[in-house]
Amino acid sequence: MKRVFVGAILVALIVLLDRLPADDFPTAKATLIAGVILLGGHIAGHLLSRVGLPRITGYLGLGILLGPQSLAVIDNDTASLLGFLQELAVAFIALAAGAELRLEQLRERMRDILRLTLYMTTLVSLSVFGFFYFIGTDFLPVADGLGAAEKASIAVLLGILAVARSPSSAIAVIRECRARGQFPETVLGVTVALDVFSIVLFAIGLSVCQALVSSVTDLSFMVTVGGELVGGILAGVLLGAALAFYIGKAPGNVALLLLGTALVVTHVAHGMADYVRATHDLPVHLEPLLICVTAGFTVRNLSNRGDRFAEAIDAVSLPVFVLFFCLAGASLDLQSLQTTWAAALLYIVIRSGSLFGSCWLAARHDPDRSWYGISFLTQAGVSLGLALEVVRRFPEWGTAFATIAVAAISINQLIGPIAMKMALLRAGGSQTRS
Amino acid sequence: MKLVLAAVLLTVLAFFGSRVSVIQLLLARIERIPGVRHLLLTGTEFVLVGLILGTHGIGVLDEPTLTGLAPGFGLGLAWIGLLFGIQWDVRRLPPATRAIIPAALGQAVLTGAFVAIGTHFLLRLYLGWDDESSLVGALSLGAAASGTAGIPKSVRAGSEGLQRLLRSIADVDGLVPILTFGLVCCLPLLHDGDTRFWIWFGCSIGLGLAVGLVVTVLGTYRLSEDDHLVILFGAVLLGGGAALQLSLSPLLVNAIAGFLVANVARPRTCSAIRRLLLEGDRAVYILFLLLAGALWNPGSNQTLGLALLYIGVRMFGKWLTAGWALRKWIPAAHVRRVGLGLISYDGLAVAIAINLQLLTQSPMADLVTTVVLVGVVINELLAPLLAAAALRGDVMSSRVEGSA
Repeated sequence: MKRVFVGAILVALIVLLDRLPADDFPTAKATLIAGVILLGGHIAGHLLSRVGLPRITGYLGLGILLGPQSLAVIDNDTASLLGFLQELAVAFIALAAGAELRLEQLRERMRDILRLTLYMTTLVSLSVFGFFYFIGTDFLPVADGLGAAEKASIAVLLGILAVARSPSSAIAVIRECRARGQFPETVLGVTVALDVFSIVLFAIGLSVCQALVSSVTDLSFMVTVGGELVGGILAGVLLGAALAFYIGKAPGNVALLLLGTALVVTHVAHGMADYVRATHDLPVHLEPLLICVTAGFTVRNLSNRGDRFAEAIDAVSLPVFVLFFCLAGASLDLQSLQTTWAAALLYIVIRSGSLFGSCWLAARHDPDRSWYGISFLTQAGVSLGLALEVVRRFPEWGTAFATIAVAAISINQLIGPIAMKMALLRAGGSQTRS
Repeated sequence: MKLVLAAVLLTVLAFFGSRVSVIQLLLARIERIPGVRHLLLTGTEFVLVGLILGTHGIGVLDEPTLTGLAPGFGLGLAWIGLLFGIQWDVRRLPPATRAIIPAALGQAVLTGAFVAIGTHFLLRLYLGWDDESSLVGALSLGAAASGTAGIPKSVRAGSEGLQRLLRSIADVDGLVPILTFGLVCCLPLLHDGDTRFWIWFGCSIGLGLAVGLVVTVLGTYRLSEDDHLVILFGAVLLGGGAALQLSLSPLLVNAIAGFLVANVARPRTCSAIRRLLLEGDRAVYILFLLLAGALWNPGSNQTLGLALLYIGVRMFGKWLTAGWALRKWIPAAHVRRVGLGLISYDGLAVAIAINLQLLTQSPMADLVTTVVLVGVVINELLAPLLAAAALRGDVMSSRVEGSA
């Protein structure tokens, strides 16, 4: 009740501030909105956790409510001003994901992780591709008037997109439940592996589609992606070594250092991509997510500063999660569902079904095999990035493809954390302190 | 890209600046000189680093970049305000601190008035400014002049009791600059449209109470450390952003919020938030010095002359009013030159200059920033010498030593 009262104060403040004669000071409004997001997110998260739902669903819900498509408290200008916070948060969450991957535990479960990754990659992508190639194109409003090659390309890319996961959501739910044990460690290991896999597969898929549509084989994208992956991992190892060295020498204020590092990595990666594109006309882009996951993994496992590093991440992770997921909620394009709901629903059903099936088969000796499938529903940042790459590469039908993808990702982003929390609480190999 | 580069650079500098040991290590040789040592300990050299990075230096922190960094300013101002307010737990004020409140506030009000009146006439007669600009400039300078930092720790002269007394005065007298500048921000001439002073004053108090109430009510739950951090950042950004949007003072708004939290919230919440605020305090101060340096327009000889005059008037004012106030309210403290121990500036002076720049990007705000920054640099050089001189005449009675 008291939290509802605070929520009412925040609403009253927003309404009042909107009516008072204010100066045209967009950055002041962005500061104010960031405060509302943090306090409102805290309230929404707690209210939902009382009914057993994950807090991040509360953050996402608040984002949708405040976003441009609902109350428009977070309008497009404010969202753009706060965009750097989202970029910072993605890199920071990737550092946290890397820090969660402990080598000695991964070694014990390496076979499970590899088996789950392999089964899911194969079965999920083939199921979604098969359905949309043979049956589902009739449900795609974009497919009318397209040739066989284009329809096949859409099916291929939807199949690959179905493999991508959301490490940020996984890490947020695992941390909220304070889940430990075999089950959450396997889930996180598979989530990170699938995210990397999906990028590689997508690169291959784009090259195949390019060849299908234009009858010209273009392998340059695959080479570029290969270089990006190797470069990203190398940069991550170097960054991790530097962080471990610094933490060893100066143990204070590590949390501030990590936030600064996340900001630097994101913008140096983007800046370098712009520079290489401008000077050499090459679309090379080191993925900040990969760099940070590798850096976090390096500090955690290849140095003796891992505990201090993990403590520093713990100390500031909650405000980062609240801001990130609220802003992610505000950016969800729910209006696209109006036109593509049938295709999005089919995509979700096929994807979910094949996820359950593949996990059931891959983990047949594991007593928790029923719970793996629903732990992998969430999709977010990387999936959206891949969908936007399709728009860039195939302008004729890419936008329509992205509309379906964004609609499906939005639903997965909302239901995924709820399903994952349920799995973490019920699975026998998971000890939680929610 | 430039904005991000600037943000990264400021983060890195503030991070290193908050680790004094690194600076001391780098500048071990020159820090042996007494004034310079104090200057380095307080981080004042970052004003000069900011100047180099600013428009008048290499231009990394140019005007559009600084405008883009406004949320950072808002956060810093609100942080300082909340930290100040949260230390005013009336129920737990030690008797010794209660005893010095009238003297501390008296000397700050009188110094501020002394400087403001002098500056008002100087700006009107010497620079030919109109009434409104000179009033805002003079009141801002008066507010900046009234606060004091604690006596430098490097000064060892005098009794421990007197040193503590001076530090307690410095802890208390920040109320005057925060309140004065908060009232300046409510003046109708700083707001568009036909509005009245009382409306903006009411808004400042209402906003402060609302932010404080939010923290207090949320603090009634049993919260983790992470939750406290979310609430703290939320409150600071909410108060700072709302105040800036209405052209009010984030310092005053958040000081009111902090005061409410200190006196109404659960002790557990209050101490958790105070500890988190103190952890970031030094980094925020360094960030402010850098930003103030970047905003600094060194200006003409005329401005420099005014700055030197301002320093002289402030010193004289402190010496005169602190001596008088202590004699009046704490008669046992027979220290003739005690006012010279209150020369050092606190972070509030720099915060006021930055706040004014955010509200009005005008020649008046430039002048106030220049005068305050010259004052900070010169005062930090002189403060240890003057404090030592003040404490040498210490004949404080044991009664005061005991109570202080």
